[in-house]
Amino acid sequence: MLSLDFLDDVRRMNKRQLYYQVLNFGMIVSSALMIWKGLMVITGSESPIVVVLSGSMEPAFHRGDLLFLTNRVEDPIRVGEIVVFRIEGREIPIVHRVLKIHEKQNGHIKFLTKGDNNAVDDRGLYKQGQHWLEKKDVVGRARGFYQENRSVEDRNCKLLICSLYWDCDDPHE
Amino acid sequence: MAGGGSSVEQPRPLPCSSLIGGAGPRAARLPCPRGPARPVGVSPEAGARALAHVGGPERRRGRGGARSRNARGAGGAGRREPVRGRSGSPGCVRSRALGETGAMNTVLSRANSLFAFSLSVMAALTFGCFITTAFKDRSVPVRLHVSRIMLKNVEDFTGPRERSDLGFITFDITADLENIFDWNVKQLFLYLSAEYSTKNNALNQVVLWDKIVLRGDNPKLLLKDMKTKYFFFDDGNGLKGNRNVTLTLSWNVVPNAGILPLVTGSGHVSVPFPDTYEITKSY
Repeated sequence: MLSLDFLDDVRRMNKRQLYYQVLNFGMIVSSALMIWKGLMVITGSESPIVVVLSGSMEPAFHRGDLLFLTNRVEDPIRVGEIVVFRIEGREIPIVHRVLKIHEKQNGHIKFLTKGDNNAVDDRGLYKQGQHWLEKKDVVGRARGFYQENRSVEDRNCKLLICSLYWDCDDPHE
Repeated sequence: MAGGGSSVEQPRPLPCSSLIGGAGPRAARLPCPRGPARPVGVSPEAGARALAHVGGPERRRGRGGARSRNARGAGGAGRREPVRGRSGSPGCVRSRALGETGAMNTVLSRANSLFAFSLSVMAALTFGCFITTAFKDRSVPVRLHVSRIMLKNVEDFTGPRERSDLGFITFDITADLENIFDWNVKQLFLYLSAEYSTKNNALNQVVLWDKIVLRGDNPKLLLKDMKTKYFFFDDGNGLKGNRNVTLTLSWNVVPNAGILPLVTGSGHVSVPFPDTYEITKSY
């Protein structure tokens, strides 16, 4: 029923109005894209807004909370910062806190992370044989935070996101 | 036929006809009486065709009766005709507000507007929360004291060398964090970090101990003789004889919504490490 009504609407429009509608739609889509890409450029991060997927940073961040990231080169990585990083071979980024850094004179830095709610550091999560993370693994540093409503979001978020990524039940994440 | 049709469809709000045959939201847009409403901009031939197409009043199937019939009529006449037809026929389609056609839609529309309003209020509140505390200074004085220092040289699998320095420290912390907590602070993540430089690395920072202080917990810290939570490994053997290891207490303020700043407490202590390794098993 609904579709027929929509088609009648479309049929009633002349060509110009149809083109106008299509252009309108295209404008909306490209505006959204521009805003997203603009955010990517400003923050320097490939993913300026991320959603927390696991409970390893509780009680600070719960599942479903939003984090705003920046990744500017002139901001050095220091301990205590919350970084979002990606391990080689795994596609889901992880949000944890920096525990140790060792930085050389030339700026090359290696660091270790740990989730607030985990008992041990993340060495068990890294790739086989990898003991430290480097700057290239970092997606961004968490600078802002927005918390979602807890009661319903927890369950819904988990259902939705777990359906998109199969391996999201990793206990360490 | 056309005359007969037009005499029927003079737009008069007829309350009951909208309920007949309509289901759900479609009912709201079925206000016109049995006969089709003649659209204003359509030629008489098209109008006649529309009427003939409709036949008797029993044809309505509970769809958008008048509207779809008009569309077909208008379509037959010529597609370039502007769509004035629908809104042009006064009183038939749009003037039927949702509220008139049944209790269900009234409740729905009210719930909808209530939900939208509460969402915008929440958004404004969150932004207010953020903006009122965004520029606060969250630093307080901290007193640190170190009572025992010991150094060992143990096997280290995380680096390219056989053995690395491992330090053991016993410390005291005194701080009053009460002034930091306000309506927008959810928790404080405290961490005690040691910063130093060695021959191998220009800058090293190691977190030795951390603690989470939630809002509502006792904000006064009076810790004595604390052992480090995490191993104080150096990336190399740079702790031996290092006189300039600085301990500071910092915290990460986690707000309800807004910026996550890292604040360093004012007050630090220097830890001079011994020149020799401890070989006994004690700590």
